Amino acid sequence: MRQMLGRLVHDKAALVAALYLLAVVVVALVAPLIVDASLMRSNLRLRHLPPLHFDHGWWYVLGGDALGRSMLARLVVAARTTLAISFATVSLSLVIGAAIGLVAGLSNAWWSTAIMRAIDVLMSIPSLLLAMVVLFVIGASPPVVVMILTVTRIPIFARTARGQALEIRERPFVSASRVMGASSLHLLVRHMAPLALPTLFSVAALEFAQVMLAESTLTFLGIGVQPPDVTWGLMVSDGQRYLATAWWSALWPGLVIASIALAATILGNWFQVANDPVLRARSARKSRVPAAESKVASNA
Amino acid sequence: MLSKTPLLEIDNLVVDFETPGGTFNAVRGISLCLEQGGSHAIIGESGSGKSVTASAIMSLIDSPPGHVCGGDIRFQGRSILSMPRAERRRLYGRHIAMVFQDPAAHLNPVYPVGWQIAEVCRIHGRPAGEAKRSAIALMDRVGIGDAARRYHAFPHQFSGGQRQRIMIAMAMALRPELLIADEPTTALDVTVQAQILELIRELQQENGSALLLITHDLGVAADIARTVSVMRRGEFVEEGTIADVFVAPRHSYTQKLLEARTSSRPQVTTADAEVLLEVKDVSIDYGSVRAVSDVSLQLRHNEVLCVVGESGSGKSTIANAILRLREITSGSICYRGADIHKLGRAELDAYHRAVQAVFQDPFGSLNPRMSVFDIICEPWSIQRSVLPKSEWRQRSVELMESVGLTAGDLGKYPSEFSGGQRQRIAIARALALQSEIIVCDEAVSALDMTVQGQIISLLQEIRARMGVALLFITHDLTLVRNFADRVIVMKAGEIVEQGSTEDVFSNPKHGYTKMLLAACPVPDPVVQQERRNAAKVASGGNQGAHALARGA
Repeated sequence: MRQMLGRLVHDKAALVAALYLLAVVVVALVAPLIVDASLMRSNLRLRHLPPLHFDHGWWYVLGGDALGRSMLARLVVAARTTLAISFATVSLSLVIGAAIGLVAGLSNAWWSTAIMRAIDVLMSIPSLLLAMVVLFVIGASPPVVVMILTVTRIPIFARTARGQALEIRERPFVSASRVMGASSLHLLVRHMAPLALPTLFSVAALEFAQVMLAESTLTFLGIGVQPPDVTWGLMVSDGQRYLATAWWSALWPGLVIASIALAATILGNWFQVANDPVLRARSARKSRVPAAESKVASNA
Repeated sequence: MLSKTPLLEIDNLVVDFETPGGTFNAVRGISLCLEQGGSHAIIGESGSGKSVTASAIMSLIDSPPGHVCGGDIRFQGRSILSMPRAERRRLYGRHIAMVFQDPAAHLNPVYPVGWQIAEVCRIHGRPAGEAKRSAIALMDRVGIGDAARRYHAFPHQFSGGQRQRIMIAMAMALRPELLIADEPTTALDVTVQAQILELIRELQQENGSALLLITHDLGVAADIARTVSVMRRGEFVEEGTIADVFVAPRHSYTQKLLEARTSSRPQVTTADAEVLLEVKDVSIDYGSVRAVSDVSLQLRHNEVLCVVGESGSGKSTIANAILRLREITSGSICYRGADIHKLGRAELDAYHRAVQAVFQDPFGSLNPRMSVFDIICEPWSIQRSVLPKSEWRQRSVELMESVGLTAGDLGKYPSEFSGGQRQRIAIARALALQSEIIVCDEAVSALDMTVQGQIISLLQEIRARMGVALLFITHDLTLVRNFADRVIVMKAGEIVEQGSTEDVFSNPKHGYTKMLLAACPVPDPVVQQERRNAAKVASGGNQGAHALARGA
């Protein structure tokens, strides 16, 4: 753990990304303490208040929305719901998808193929249609949204994991391990998972942004998160109606989504490098050559 | 034919590569002079800079990171390095041509081979119809049967040997004055190698071309070259005629190269030792293809049994079946009398402890994410009863020392080691369970010659010290001679000959064994010349050689 932290400090881009994500998480956690309830009430005098000046206190530095609520305060409150939904969705689908994919990749048996065909079937169902039907029947709430999004994300992780497992399975060190009498569980835990995980984490980082956008699509259709709950996706879809008159109402939540996605991707890439002795040695050597340093940053 | 200016002159060439770790001096001031029609070999191990030299002549060095920072290369007196690009392009293909190691990678898979041969002619301004006709003639000349029809075939429809013939046809299409061959036969089986070398020699004589051969194989060099340079770490350590260098090498490195394979074998009598492993009438099918048919063999205690065969002979399939990585179709494999496919759980664990493996690829056989300590300890983490965890550290240090590595290496990762060192780690892992049998599947084939010698002597030492039996699978007969107690020769899934090493080498009975022995070039120009002539006579002169070639 300490080793990993040391490596993180070494990679400037990843460090900045990690600190940014950490800050957003902290803000999301303490949101109820810092955001005054009055800021969330509509105030038509401050309707579409232009951003970037302090006339109405620093809560209104990012402007006001269509009902005159503070954009900054709503972003802070939305962080909680958005991050919770995305994080839960991505981790659930990562765990379930990776388990299915690795197990299916390890075995040649008929059920391995059957599982993957079932995954393909799942993938071919339009996720929006599935979401609409389920949300209409059960009713929209954050846990149901998480469930729906998880189901639609599982195939991506399962197929990535299976592809990795199929490739790793043929490597000589897996054969060597089998020759020692290794059980399937041993192969899975010692060889498959450690080699497949960094790739899966990279995929997860990208999926994190995808899930935020998918959630906002559901919200946009009115079947996602319902007011008074608020997410960044909801804010984007609210704001896009006023793009011509009040650009800030969609821009700030959009920027937050993009920056979170970027930070998650940078961190995902860093994780892949930090876990691979070969890449690690290469990047360590690179960083000693000044000319190559900018290349590392841009690669990350 | 001799002109005043030599055909190719390399004058104090220096090539550097900028790597993240600093500047790597790949070639450090070599000079070379090749006359018209001459044949010169550059011999060296991987990383010696021999291929970089060839690439420099063909302007194929990736720049950056590589660049020529000193010296000159002159072709017919004109400097290649300073001539304009357009002029250089006219030179390549027409006057200087190159044959690469891997014909599978250097032929475009989406174009017919004939079209690719004709392309060379078209680039240098011949009309398409004429180019096609000469391509067909060339295919015929290099021994591709039914050339007019095969003109339209794609690279994947040819065998490795045939693909190399096609590459040679492309190179010789415009009768270049200089042919550069970079490890032209390294990826090929030994009998095919002999045919390809013969073809290069014939074409060279027909066209009066000069040959610059890059190789790591002393036998190949002795077979085809008249002069030789031995390259090491970017420098020529020895130069001269092939007879001088091979018969009386002056530099210690050349001596080491020549000695690498001639270490003597300790005499161990194992004829009446206990039979550990018995393979009885085993057949293995891959779908509808029979890879191994009715193979029987016995491995005795503390014995070195070598299975020799070319690619596709089924030798590795047998090894995998013994390791239980591959199901057998019929027959049985017995360990100390018990069928290994009918073992109970505890007996199966015992079998896995008794039989370990070292694989070919030193880069693939160690998990890159595990430290060496974790790799060595993996057998104990699987077979929990062998060693208590408290003793892992001490025992792994002992194992590392027994394969010539140090305790300090335990904390490192596989990527920090060379191929030979990685193979040592793999051997240490195979020894961890104190096995009785170690199956080595082409365990030294991916290594340089001097490193091969080191690993072989390590295996010999381990065999003598620990009393293990070795089942050594290889395609390389020269390795076997001083190492094996018994030899099994396989061809197309069947055993064609088996016996003690002395018998098989001095008195081969099967025609295929004779052919293998004859095809294998030896690093002695005089002997190799005699062997080549003998092989020609044996196969019925040129006619026979051509017929053979078409079959390749």
